[in-house]
Amino acid sequence: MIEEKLLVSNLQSNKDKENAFRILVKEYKERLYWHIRKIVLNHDDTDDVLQNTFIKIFRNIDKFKGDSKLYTWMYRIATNESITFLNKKAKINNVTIEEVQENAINSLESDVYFEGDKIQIQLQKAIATLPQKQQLIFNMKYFENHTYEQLSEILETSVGGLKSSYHIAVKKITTYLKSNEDL
Amino acid sequence: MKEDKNTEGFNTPQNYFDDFEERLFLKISEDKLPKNNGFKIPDNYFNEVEDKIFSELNQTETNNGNKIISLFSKKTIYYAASIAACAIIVFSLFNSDKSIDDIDEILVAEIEQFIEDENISFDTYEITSMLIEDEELNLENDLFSEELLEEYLLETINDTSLFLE
Repeated sequence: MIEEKLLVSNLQSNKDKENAFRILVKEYKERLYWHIRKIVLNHDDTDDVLQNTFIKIFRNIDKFKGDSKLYTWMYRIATNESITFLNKKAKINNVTIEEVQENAINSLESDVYFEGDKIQIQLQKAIATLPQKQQLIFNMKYFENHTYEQLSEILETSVGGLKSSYHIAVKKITTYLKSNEDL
Repeated sequence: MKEDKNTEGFNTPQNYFDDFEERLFLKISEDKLPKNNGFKIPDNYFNEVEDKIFSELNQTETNNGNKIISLFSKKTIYYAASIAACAIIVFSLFNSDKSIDDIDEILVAEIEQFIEDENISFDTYEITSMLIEDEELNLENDLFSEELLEEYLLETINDTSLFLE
């Protein structure tokens, strides 16, 4: 991959913008997809949010000042887009965001793009019991292997705070799984 | 415990041993969790999504570049409606055979209908203030002569006690 500074300057120039954007999409589509998928759970919704995320990145790239890393900035947009999507869905259906997540988990069993078993559904249920930020921290640390330093930039939280949130999240999830083993 | 002989030159991060147990137990807990979440994607999805993103972008950028004005936008409807209204007024004024008096009559009838429909209402104070302002109006003489008043009272009041008085 070409150096980030050059990529950003190409993205912000009229001449090279499209080519640079193609490189950016190629490089980040999978990582951002999986990040979004863990929040919205369903493939079709993830597809919508991923496209919106890249379109937003394209339109707002001139506002990127380089204060943080480019991928940090993109992850932040993807996270915001995913949460905004869930909120909109909740508003349209006149339910809470927790109920939207619960419905999404209940639909997993019949989802053709889900091949997990009972324990993986239980894991999703356990994650859904966490507050929104802890859910993000858990998913990004456990499944996406981000370092605490990277997470600190993306979520704008101190490393210490993230560590303790992650510990609490793991504890809550293991407790949930243990108490729901027979379900 | 005996001092370790082979640690010279080696060092550990600060507080490494203080939270070692905590990290160890966290690792043990993590190991009990499923290693993947079971999510799948359609075949060839990541190749297709690029095309989707670019076609979506091209579409929206084209729309932004050459502004498409909807024929049925609210503004257009307002403009069309106001032009049509002007045309009707001009047409009716110049092509009408009716005299000004006829128009006045129509207007009065319309105003009466408007008031009857309770689109406008005055309270008693507003009406009296309007009557007082009109100095030429003499209620007693012009509207209610003594005969008329007597006739009205005889016809409408049924209370016999009043006659006894």
